[in-house]
Amino acid sequence: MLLTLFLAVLLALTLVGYFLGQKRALGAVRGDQAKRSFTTNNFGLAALPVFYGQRLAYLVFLPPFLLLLLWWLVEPRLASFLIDWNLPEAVRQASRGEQVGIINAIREAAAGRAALPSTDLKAAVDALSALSWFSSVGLYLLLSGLIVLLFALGLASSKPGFKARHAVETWNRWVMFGAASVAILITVGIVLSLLFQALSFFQAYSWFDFLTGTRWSPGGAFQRGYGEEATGGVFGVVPLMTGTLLIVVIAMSVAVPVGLLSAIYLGEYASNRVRVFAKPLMEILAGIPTVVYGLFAALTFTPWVASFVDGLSAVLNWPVLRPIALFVANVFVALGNGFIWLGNLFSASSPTYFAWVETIVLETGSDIALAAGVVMGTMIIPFVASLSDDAIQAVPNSLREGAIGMGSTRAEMMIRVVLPAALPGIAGGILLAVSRAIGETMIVVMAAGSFAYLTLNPFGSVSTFTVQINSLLTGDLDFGGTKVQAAFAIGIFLFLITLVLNTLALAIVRRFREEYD
Amino acid sequence: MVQIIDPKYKVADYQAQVMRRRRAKSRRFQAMGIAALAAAGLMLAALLSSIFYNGVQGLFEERMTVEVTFDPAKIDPKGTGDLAVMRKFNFDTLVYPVLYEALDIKVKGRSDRDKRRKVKQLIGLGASNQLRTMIVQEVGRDPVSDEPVLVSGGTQLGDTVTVELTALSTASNPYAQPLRDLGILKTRFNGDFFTGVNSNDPGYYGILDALVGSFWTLLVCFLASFPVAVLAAVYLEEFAPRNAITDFIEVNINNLAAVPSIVFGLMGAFVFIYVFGMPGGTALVGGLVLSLLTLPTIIVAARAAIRSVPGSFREAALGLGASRQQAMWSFVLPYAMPGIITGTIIGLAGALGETAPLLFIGMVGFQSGVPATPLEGTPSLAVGIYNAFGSQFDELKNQLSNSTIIVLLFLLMLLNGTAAYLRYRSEKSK
Amino acid sequence: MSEIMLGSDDEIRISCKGVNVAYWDNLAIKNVSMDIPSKQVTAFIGPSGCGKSTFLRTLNRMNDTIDGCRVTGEIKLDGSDIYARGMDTVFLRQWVGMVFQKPNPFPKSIYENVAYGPRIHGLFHTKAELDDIVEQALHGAGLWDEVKDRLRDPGTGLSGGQQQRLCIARAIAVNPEVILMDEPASALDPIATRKIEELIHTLAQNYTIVIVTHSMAQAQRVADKTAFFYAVPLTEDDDSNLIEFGDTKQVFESPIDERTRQYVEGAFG
Ligand SMILES: Nc1ncnc2c1ncn2[C@@H]1O[C@H](COP(=O)(O)OP(=O)(O)OP(=O)(O)O)[C@@H](O)[C@H]1O
Ligand SMILES: [Mg+2]
Repeated sequence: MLLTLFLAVLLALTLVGYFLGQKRALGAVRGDQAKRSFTTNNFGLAALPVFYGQRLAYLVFLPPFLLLLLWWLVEPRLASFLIDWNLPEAVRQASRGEQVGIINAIREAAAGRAALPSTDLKAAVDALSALSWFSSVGLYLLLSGLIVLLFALGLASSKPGFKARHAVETWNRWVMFGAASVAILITVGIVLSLLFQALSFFQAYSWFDFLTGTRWSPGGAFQRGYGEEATGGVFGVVPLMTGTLLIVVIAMSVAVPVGLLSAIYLGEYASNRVRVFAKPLMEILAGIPTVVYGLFAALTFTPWVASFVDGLSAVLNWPVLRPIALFVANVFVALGNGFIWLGNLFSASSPTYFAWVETIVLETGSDIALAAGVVMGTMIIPFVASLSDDAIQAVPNSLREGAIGMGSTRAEMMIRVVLPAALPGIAGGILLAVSRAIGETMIVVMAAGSFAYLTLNPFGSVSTFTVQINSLLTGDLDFGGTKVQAAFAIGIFLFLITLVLNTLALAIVRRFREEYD
Repeated sequence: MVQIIDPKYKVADYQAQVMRRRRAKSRRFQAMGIAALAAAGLMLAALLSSIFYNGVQGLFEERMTVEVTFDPAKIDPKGTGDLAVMRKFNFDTLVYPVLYEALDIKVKGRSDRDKRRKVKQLIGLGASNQLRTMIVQEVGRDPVSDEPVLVSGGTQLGDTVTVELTALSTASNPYAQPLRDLGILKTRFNGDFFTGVNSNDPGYYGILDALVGSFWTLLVCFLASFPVAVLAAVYLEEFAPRNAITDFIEVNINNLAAVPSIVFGLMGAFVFIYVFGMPGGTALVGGLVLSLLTLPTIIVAARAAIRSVPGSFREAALGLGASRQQAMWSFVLPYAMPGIITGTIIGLAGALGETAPLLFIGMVGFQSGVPATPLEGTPSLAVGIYNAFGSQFDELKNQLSNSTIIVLLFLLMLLNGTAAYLRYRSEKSK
Repeated sequence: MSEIMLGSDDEIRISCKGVNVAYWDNLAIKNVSMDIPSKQVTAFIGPSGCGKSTFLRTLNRMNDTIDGCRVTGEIKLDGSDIYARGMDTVFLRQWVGMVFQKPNPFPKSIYENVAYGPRIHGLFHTKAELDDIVEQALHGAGLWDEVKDRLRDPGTGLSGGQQQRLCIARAIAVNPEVILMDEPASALDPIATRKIEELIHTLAQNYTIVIVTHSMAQAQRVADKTAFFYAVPLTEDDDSNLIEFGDTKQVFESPIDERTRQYVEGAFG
C-alpha cells in the first residue's frame, strides 16, 4: 500500500522536477540580456532548458528507485540472516526439519499472525519485526527524506552556467552501460545459481560417485527397489552420458549428411525454382518449436519406428540372414564379456557375464532412442545446412574457378576442392549443432525414456541429461532437497559442455574466416 | 620424336569412357543432394500431416442433444433450497436415464449393467459441470470465511431444458453409432477449445487460459528485454570505449546466445523464485525467464541494424552541433528501428514456442481460469501442448494437443510473416 | 611562414598557430599556421591525401569523433582557443557549421532538415519563429522558391544539387559565423555546381567560408584566398605541409613555391 503511494509520489515528483528544472534554469536568466557565446546559448544557458528538466528528473528518480530495488533484493536474505543470527544455540543443533518449523513460527510471530512461540526466540522475533517495520515504513520515510534532499540540491544547482546536457548524457551513459552489463549479470546469475546448488549437492553426494556412477535413480520407489536407504537417491551420470551420446550420435548422423548435402545442392546445383521451395522448407523446419517436434516424435514417429523395427526383426530372421545376424550379435556379446572379465581383474565381486544370443528379436518399448534421435536430427538439419552454407560460401571463388578451369566436373570441384577448403568451417558448424543437440530438451522429454538404462542400443530406451533435469525440477521445488540440487549439478555439467563446444566451434570458424578474408 | 604420353590414352573411346564415368559420378552426387532435400521435405511433410490430421480432429467433437429435467427430488431431496447442497449433486446422473430410454436399456437390474457402464463412459466431468452451472455458480470466495460465494445459475429446479453435452470417447463406444442414428449425437465444431480453459475432461478442454497466458508472458518478456537490449546495443555500437569490460560484455552476449534454454530455466527458477521469492507459475516469472533468452537475440539484431545506418546522418548531425547522443536518438535509432523490431519479433516468436524453462518455474497449468494479470498462475500455449500430451494413452487429449499446435503454428506464422513484411518494406525504402 | 600574409585590411576570424594533426602515429598535418579572414572565401587546394579535409575538420573539431586522431597547436576563433578545456563542441559547431562532400540530408522532411539545428540549439520560442528561421535559411540557400510548396516532402527526394543546397540551408539555419565546405560540389553536375558557386559568393557577404576543392577553376572563381597543401612526409627543409597561402590571384598567377606552380599549371593542363 505504502509502496504504491510511494511510487506514485516518486513518479509525480519526477515529473514536477522535469518541469521545474526547466523553469528554474530559465528563470535564473530572465532579465539578463541573453547573448550566445562559446559557453551559453540563446537562452543564456549552458544547455537547452529541457536538459535542466531531465537532469532534475533523473536526480530525483534514479537514486531512490535504485535504493528501493536494492532493498527488495537484499531484504529476504537479510531476514534469513537476522533469524539465523538470533537463533538460540539449542535450535541450531536441531534437525533441519525442526529448524524449518521454528523459523516459520518466528516469521508468523513477527508478522503478528501468531503468538510468541517461546521466550528464548524473542530476540529473533524482535529483530524480524524491526526489519519488517523498516521495510514497510522506515524505508519510505528515509527515501522521502532523500528525495527532498535531492530535489533541493538539484534546484540549487540549476544555474545558467551548469552544463546540464553533460550531466544528463552522463546519466544516460550509465543507464546504457547498466543495460549492457545485464549480459554479465545474467552470466553471473547462471554461474552462481548453478554453482550454489551444485556445491550443496556435492556436499551431500560424492562428486566421484556422481561422475563415475553407472546407476541413476533419484526417485524413492526405484531406489527402494534397489535396497538403498530411503533418504537418498543414486546419482551416477554415466547412463545419462551414454544416453545423451547415443541420441546425439543418431541425431547428427541424420542432420549432418542431410544438412550438408542440402546445403551443397542448394548452393551449387539447384535452379531458382527448386530454391523457392527449398528455402522455406528449411526456414519452416527451423521455426517449428521443439515441443512440436517432441509431440510428433512421441505420438507418431515412435510407433512408426517400432513397426519398422519389427519388420527388421523379421528380415534378420530370414534363413539367409539369420546366421550372419547371430554371428554379429555374438561377437558383441563376446566383446562385452571380455570387458567384464577385464574389469573384474580389478575388483572382487563375482561378475555376471552376458549369455550367448540364440534368437534374434529386436525389442522396443514405448520409448525408442532411435525415434527421438531421428526427430532431433530433423530439427537440426536447417542449423547444419545454414552453417555449412556459410562455410561453403566463404571459400573464395578463385579456388572454384581454378578447379573448373582444369576441367573438373562440378562434383569433383566440390569434393576435391571446395569441401576440403570449407572443412574447418563445417566442422565448427557441426560442433555448434552438437552443442545444440545436447541442450535440446522437449524432444527427449517427450520421446525418450525417463528411466536411465545404461545401454547404447538404438532400439532401446535411454534417458538424457535434459530429461533428468526436467523430471527432477517439475513438481514441488524444494531448493534445499538433494533432487533439485542434483538437477543443478547436471545443469552445470551441461553448461560447461556447451560452453566448451561453442568456444571451440567459434574459434575454429574464426580461424577459418581469417584464412580467407 | 619421343613419345611422352602413351598413345592408348589418346584413343577417343577411352577418353569418352573416362568422361562417362566422371559424369555419372557427378550425377550421383547431385542425386544425393536431391535425396537429402527430399528426406528433409519428407520429414516435414510427415510432421505437418500428423499435426493436421490429428489436430483438425481435435477441432471437432460429438455432442449429444438431450432433454434434461432438473428433478428437485434428486437434486435437493430435503427441499432446503440451499445452493451449497445442490452443488454437491452429481448432475451427470440426470442424463443417464434419458440415454437408457433412448437406447432401450433397463434402468435397473443386473442384465444391463455392462451396457449402462458403457453409456456412462460417454459423459465426463465437464458435462456434469456444465449442468451444475445451470443451477448454481461460484462467483468468487468470501474474503473473511474463504467460503465460496454461490449464486443461482438461472435455471429453476423442476425445469426441463434441452442441452448440448460433449460426448467422450465416441470412437470406441458401441453406443455411439446408435445414438448417431437416433440423431442424439452430432458432430460439431469444438467451440470450447477456444473459449474454455484447461480441464481434465477433454470434451471441455480449452486453450483460452494458455493463449492469454502466452500473451502476458510475451508482454512481460518484451517489456523486460526490449528496452534493455536496445540500450545495450546502442551502448556497444556507439558509446562503449574499447576496453576489457566492453570485450567481456561482448563475450558474454555471444555465449548467452548459445546457452541451452534449459539452463536459463534452472537459473530462472533459482534466482526469481527461490532468491527473490517471486510467485512461481506466473506469466511474470515466465516472461522474465524468456527475456533472458530473447535478450541476446535482440541485442545482436539491434547492433546489426544500428551498424547498417549510414554514417552520413551521424556526421551531418554532429556538424550541426548535435551531441553524439542527440544524433543517436534523433536519427540513428529511428532509422535502425525497423531492423530492431524485426529482430525483436523473431526473438518473441522463439519465446512463444519455448517450453522447457517454463516447466521449471511451475507454469504447468494446474490452475484453471483465465489469468487477468501476469501475476496469476497460468500455462502458456507451448506448455499446453506438453500438458495435453502428458496423458499418453488418451487419444482425445493428444488430438487437442495437436490442435493447440495448429494455433501455435498459426501465431508463429503471423509473427514471422510480420517480421518478413517489415524487413521487405524497410529494404524497399532504402 | 613568410608566404602567409594577409592584406592589412583583412579582419582575422580564425587564427591557427603550429597545428599538427595525427591519426595514431601518422602525421597528416604538420605545423600549419594560417589566419583565415572574416567574410571572405578561403580555398584549400592540394593533391589528394595531403590533409585538406583533415585540417578543415579540425576547425570545428569534427575530428574529435575519430578514433586515434590527435590535434596539437593552437586554433583561435575570434580570439578563443577552440581546443581549450571546457570548450563545448556543441556551441563551437553552432558557430562553425559544416557542409559535406556528398549531400547528406536527414531521412526526414525538408522542413525538419532545416529545423533540426534550431531545435537542438533552442533558437526560437514559438512555432512561428521556427517557420521564419526555416524560410530565411531556405531563402539564404536559394532553395525557397523550389521547395516552398513541398516543405513536408522528404529531403531525400530532392535532386543532388537541391540536396546540397538543403544541407547549406541546414547549416546556416543555426546562424553560424563560419561555414566549412569539403568539396561541396564534387558530386554535382556542372549546372548545379555553378549554382552552388554563386551561392557561396553570396554567402560570403555574411559568413566566413572555408572550402576544400579539387577544381582549380572553382578555386579561382569563388575564392578570395587560397592555401596550397602538400602531403606529409615532406622534404627536409619544409617545416610545414602548408606550402603557400595568399590571395587567389597571386597563388595562381605568380606562385612562390615551385610545387605550387607545378600543381596549379598541371591542373590547367
Ligand atoms: N580516419 C582516418 N584514420 C586514419 N588516417 C586518416 C583518416 N582520415 C584521413 N587519414 C589520413 O590522413 C591523410 C590526410 O587525409 P585527408 O582526408 O585529410 O586528405 P585530403 O587532402 O582531404 O584528400 P582528398 O583530396 O582525397 O579528399 C591521408 O594520408 C589519410 O590516409
Ligand atoms: Mg578530402
